[in-house]
Amino acid sequence: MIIIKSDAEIETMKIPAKLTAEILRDLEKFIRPGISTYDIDQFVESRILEGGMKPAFKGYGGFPASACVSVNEVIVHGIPSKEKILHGGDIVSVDAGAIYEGWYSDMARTYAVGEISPEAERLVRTTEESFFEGLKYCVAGNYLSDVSHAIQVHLESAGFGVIRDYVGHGLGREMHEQPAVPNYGRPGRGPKLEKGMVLAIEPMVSAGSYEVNVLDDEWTAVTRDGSLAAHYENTVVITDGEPLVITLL
Amino acid sequence: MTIKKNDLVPGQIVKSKAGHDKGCVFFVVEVLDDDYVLIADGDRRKYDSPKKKKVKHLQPYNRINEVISEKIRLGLKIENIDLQRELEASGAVQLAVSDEEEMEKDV
Repeated sequence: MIIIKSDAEIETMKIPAKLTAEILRDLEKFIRPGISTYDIDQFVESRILEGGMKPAFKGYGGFPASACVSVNEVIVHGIPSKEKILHGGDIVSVDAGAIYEGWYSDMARTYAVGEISPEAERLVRTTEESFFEGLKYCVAGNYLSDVSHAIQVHLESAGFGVIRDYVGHGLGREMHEQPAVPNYGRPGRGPKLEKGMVLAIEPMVSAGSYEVNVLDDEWTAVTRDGSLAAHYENTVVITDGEPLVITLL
Repeated sequence: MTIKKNDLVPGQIVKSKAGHDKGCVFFVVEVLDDDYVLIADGDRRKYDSPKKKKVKHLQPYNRINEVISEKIRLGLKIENIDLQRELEASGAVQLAVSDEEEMEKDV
């Protein structure tokens, strides 16, 4: 069941969304060669707690940290570690969320660590662009897969692989609500978008093949061919008019 | 945090990709674990004797029947004719017939 949110509920959802957006904005200055993925997790966790909220990811399905920190070929769900040190030229995706009065936020960005290669830069930029291509179709009355299709077309025309095994989702009082939001598919399928739907739209993209392996920790998802991966996520509210992206400052 | 594509839920419509029932559509009536679910359509597989099926042998549709999912959640009685009618009303049977109409396929 797709849960429609009232205007008042959406106002409440904006509060954890804003805090998460501020944290991920500030991470841009914090991320540098020499820090560990654990340091990133601690940065995120302390800022969520200082904001009087709860880290949404910690303990979710057994996930052991407050942020998923995914380096280079790791697509999503990287488990932060003191041993995993960032080096110049790496790209690192950080996915995090907070809970405020029972309402969830969820967003992700991919950051450059120092100077990165032109190809890595193009991957990160195109992943972000694909979200905004999808956003153009986040209009009441459109089909959900219109959004998915726009994302896929943008990414594949740039020569990148669209991850199939993981998808976006509805968001609200649960982290994962209906509907699933794939980043691929034919247009004109799936549920129709309605005012009050809240969607976590999150292209996950490989510089090579879209095939995925999950490591023995049962969380870390990596590209099977070892190619770089990027992730960009915002929380989008469907309205009567233009969509509202509540994780953008 | 992203979600795995194949996280099925009760009341979700799926199409069998393998076995004697290949090409047929069913409701997920219970999720057993990450790899297995129970499915029924009220005809080939009755609600009281659902088929245990591997998740990887099912194509999920991004469509969950609210009537069926609520009844399952609340533990209410579900008649086989209800499953048949709701599957028919969902249009999923017709969708499964035509590859053109599959919702989760690649471009």
